Amino acid sequence: MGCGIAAEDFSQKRHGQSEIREIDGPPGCIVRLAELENQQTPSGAGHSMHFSEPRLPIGQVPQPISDAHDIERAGWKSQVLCVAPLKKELWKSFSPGAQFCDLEHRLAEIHGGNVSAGPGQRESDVARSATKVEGEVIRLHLGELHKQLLPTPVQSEALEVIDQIIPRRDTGKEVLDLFAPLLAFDIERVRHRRRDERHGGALRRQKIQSGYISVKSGAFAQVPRLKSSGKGAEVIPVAGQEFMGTEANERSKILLVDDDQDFLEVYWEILKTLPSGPSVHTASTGARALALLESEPFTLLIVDLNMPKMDGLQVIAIARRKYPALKVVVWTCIADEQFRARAYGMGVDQYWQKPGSEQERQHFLDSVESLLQRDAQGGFRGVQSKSLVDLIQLECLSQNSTMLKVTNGTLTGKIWIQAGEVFDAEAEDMRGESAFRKILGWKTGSFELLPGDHSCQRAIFSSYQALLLEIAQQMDEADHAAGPDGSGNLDAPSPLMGLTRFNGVQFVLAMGPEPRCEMKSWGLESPDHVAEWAQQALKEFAVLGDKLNVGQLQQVTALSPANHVALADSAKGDLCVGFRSNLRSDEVRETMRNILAKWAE
Amino acid sequence: MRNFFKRRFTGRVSKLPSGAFALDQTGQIVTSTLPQSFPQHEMREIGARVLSFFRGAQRAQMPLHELNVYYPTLKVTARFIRGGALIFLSPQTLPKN
Repeated sequence: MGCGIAAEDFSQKRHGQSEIREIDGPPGCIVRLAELENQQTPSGAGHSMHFSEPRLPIGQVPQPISDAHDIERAGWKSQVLCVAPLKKELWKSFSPGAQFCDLEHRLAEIHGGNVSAGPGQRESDVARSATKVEGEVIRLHLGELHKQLLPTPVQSEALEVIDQIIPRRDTGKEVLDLFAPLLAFDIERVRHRRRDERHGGALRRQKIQSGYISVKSGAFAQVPRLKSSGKGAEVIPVAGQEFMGTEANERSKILLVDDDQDFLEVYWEILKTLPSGPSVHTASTGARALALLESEPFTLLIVDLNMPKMDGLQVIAIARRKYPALKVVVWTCIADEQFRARAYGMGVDQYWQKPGSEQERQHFLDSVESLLQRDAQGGFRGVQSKSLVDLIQLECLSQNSTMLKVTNGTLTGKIWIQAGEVFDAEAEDMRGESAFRKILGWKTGSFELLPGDHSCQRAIFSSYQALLLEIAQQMDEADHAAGPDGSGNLDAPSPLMGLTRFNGVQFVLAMGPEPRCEMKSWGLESPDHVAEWAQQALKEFAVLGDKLNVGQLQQVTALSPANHVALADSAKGDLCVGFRSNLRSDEVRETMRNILAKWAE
Repeated sequence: MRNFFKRRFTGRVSKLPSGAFALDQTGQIVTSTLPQSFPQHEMREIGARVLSFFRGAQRAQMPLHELNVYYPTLKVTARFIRGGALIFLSPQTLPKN
C-alpha cells in the first residue's frame, strides 16, 4: 500500500474535524478509533486527551508482546502517534511513559520512507489532512500476530502496518468482519473522556465520541454499545457480557462508604466517570468496608462519618492502622470543627462536607482525581517526581548534615545524615539499617528537613551508595513479585477476584464440595454465618425439587433493598454471590449464570 | 403377543402446580389459589423451607424480602411479609416457537 493511496483516501475525507489518535502499543493488536466533537477550544489551539487506560510507569520500557498475558502486563500505552493539533507536552504530562513520533515520520516509516504528496500538496499537508479525516482510520499493527495471519513468514523486527479506512457507520461490525476470518478476539469498546486545557481557570469538559477496540486472545465478543450520553471513561457491557478487562486490575480503586443508599448510587455513577477511570466499590456499613479492604488493595477510601453501628471515625482508625498507604477522604454532612480536627488528627487526607451544589461537586471530584493522580505518580508532597532515594542522594552528595523526617500516613521515620553519610535511622520500633530499609520502602508521604543532631550515635556503617543500591534491588524484586496488578500486599491473588469483575458484584463466597468444604470469600464481613445459611438453603431447595419432581435446582436468587443475593451449586461447590441492589432480578440471574460458567473454568 | 412388548408406565403423572398461597408466621396456610389436587403437605413443605430461608438470612445479617427459586420446570417466587410469606408457584414451559 502506497502513501499516495492513503493520502488520496485522506484527502477525500478531509473535511470535518476529526483526529486520529493512536496508541500503538507493543507490536500486537491495537485498533484505535476516534472522532472528536466540538473540538474548538477558546484559544483555537490544540487538544489534550486523557485516557483511562493504565499508564506505563515512568522509565518502564515496553516489553515485546508474545501473548495475551504480555499484553496485559505491558499495558497499552507505550507509544503515542501524535498528530498535529495535539500538544505533545500535554500528552506527555498525561502519559509520561509514552513515546512520540510525528505523523509524517510515521507515514514515512510505514510507506518505506516515501511520503508522496498529491498535486499542490506538501508532505506536511499529507499529515495534516490525515488529522482531518472525518471517517475513522484503523491502524492494525502486526507483530507476532502477523505471523499467524499471513502464510508467509515475517521478520519479527519488521513492524508492518495496514491502514484500513472503515466507514463511520457500523464500525464495530466492520471491524469484526475484518478480523473474524483471521483470529478469534475479545473486543471491548471504551469511551474516553476528553479533558480540555485549563483556560481562564475553568476546566472545560467536552464530549468525545470515540472508542478503542482492544484485541485480546480469547473468544469473540460483541462490541459493547456506547451510551448516547454520559461522561467519562466507561465500559458499557452488552446484555449478559460483563467487563472482565485486565485494566480493572491496574486502575485506581475507590471504596465509597455511606449508609445512605441513594448517595452511594449517585456517587458510584459519578466517580466512575473520573478521568482516571477508577474502579469504584461501595459499602453501606463500616464492617463491610473493612471486609472489602481486607479482600483487596484500594487506593482511596471515601467515608461518611455518621453511620450506624460503626461510625466513620472508627472505620478510619482501623483503616489507618492496618493500611497506612491508603488515602482517606471524609465526606459528611457534619459541619463541626471538632470532627474536622479529629479526622485530620487521625491522618485523613481531606475532609469534605457533602457537596450541595454543582460547583462543590465538581471541586470534590477534582480533588479526588488529584489524589488518585498523586498516587499513580508516587513521590512526596512538594517533590512529586522525586523518590526518597533521590532526596537522600541529594543530601549526601551535598555533604549536608541534616535530619530527614519522613511521614507516611500515621507512620513516621527519621534518617540522620552527617557530612554526607547516613548515620542512623529510626522508624516505629526499629533503628539502624532495618529502619532505613523500612523508610525507603515508602513511596508516598511528606518529608521535613530538620537541623542535624551532632550528638547522634552512628548506627549505620555502610556507605549510602551501597545501601541505596541494595534497597533498589530489593524493591525491584518486590515489584516483580507483586505482579502486573501491583497487588503485592496480598499474599496471593484470590481465585475469586476474577468473579468480582462481573457487573454489580459486591461479594463472593465459595464453599468447596464436601467433605472438606473449604471456604473462600471476598468482600464479606461475616462469611461463616452466610456460608452456613447458603449451604443449608441450597440443600433444602434441592431436596424440595426432588420431592416435587420439578428437576434439579438451578439457582436461587433473593432480593432486598440493600443488596441482592444469588446461590447456586456447581461442580466446584456452592457459590453465593452478592449484587448491587440496582440490578434487576433477571440481570442478577443472567450474571449469576455467567459467573457460574466462569467459576467452572 | 403384542402385550408382551408393551411397556407399562408406572410413574405418577401430576400437573405442575400453578397459583399462590399465603402463610402466617407460624407456617399455617392462610389462603391458597392452588388447585385442590395439589397436596396440602407439599404446600406446607414449600412454605416451611421458604420461611426457613428468610429467617436464616436474617440471622446471617442479610435481611431479604423476595426469593426466586428456579427449577427446570417450576419457578417458586416468595415474598416475606410480616414474618409470614406469600408464595407463587409458576410452571416453566419451553417457548412455543
